[in-house]
Amino acid sequence: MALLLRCVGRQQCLFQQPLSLIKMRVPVVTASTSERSYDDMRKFWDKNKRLERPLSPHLTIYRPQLTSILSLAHRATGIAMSATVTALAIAFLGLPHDFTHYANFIQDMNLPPYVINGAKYMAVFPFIYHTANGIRHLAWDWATGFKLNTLYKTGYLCVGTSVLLTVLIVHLC
Amino acid sequence: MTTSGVLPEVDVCCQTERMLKMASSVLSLRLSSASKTCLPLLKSMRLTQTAAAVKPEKRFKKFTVYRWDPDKSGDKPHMQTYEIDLNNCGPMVLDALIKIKNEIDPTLTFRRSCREGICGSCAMNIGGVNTLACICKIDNNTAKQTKIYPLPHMYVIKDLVPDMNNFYAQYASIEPYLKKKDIKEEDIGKEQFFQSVEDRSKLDGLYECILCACCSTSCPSYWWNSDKYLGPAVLMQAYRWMIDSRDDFTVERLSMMEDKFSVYRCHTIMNCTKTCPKHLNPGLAIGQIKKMLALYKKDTEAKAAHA
Repeated sequence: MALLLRCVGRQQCLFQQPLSLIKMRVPVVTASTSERSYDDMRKFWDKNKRLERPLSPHLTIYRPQLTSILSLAHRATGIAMSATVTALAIAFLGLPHDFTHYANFIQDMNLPPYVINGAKYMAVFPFIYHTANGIRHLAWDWATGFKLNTLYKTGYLCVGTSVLLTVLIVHLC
Repeated sequence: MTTSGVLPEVDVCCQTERMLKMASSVLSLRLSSASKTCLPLLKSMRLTQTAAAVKPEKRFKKFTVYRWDPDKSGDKPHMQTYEIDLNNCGPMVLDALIKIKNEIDPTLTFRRSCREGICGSCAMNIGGVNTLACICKIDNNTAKQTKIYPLPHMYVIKDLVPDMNNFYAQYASIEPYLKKKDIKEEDIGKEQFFQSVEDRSKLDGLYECILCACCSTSCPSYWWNSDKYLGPAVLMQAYRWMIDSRDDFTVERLSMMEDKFSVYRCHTIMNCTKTCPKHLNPGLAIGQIKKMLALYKKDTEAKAAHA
């Protein structure tokens, strides 16, 4: 592609006036610069695969830190909630009774409180955490709150408030 | 003339006199204490002092290093442990690596050049975090071993040396140089493009990047998509040229980023800013690019409508 571009550029240059020759050359040079870099990328992948070089270790050796853990948790809670909501919605389409029937059924089972509370925590925490961290993401979309100590402050604040709110909601509601 | 010549001398005399007095008082104190207790104690004190200077206690620390040799057929990547005496080694991890290479295992391969954090050659993963070996202090806790890997999720050429060519090609792809419109080639270099102090200060915190790739290779998004996602280091340089008041190609530079991968694979994980050995903020630069991408079309449309 780069070669083609260069050939076209040269041929056109031959028939142009000296002044427009310069005008023509500038864009052609820049085009071939980025083209060359894409060429280099292709060569990189071909060469490394041909030589069967190993990939250096990554996920398993990188130290977990607040930045990556919170990001991971945000994605995990998001996926888990979407999956749960979708699964429940589809399930209720096919199930014979409505929601209250199953709620009463669970109530009648007389499960020990730690099971009920555990389930409540599992349902409430992802929602609260995802919302709180979502606020951080909204701030980042406006390019604010990126300083490293701000990141850590808002990160701890986000975890703290979500734990607090979860406890309050589970035990008060 | 005389006063200025004499005064310092007097000063020196005073100082030496004072020092002599101090020395004699210390001496007398020692002697008196020695005479009060016993002479053997003094002797033993001196012995321990001199002994400490001659024979320091050895502080062995283990360094576990990633090894892979392309020339050994069938060689699998493995970890190799070296033990070195910290009392006989410089303070930084690079000093330890050089010591291992010089004294224990000359086959150990790594990149290094400036040994002062400005060339970016010795970027590697030390203790689970990407940094420059030359400005990373050795953890003095000898009970804990220090693990050293090459930059994560890179093709390994040998031991701690990764293939950086994709990273460099990506850097070239953003055209990291000043681009002007309506300029003849013969006019280039004839006059300076001036910039206000404020416009120049916008480049602070961006131009200092040494392209060591610590940030890019700490980014999980870059691990999974390094073929299409540009990564924090390259994006920060893209931003550096976008906001340069002398550059005329801001809109073109932005429109280069208008796809699902180049910028938008960034999910604000922020490992990049956390790990940068130069304390720069690539995450912020990417945030700024995203914001510019959201707004620049409106701006250009408004300008077009105005004209």
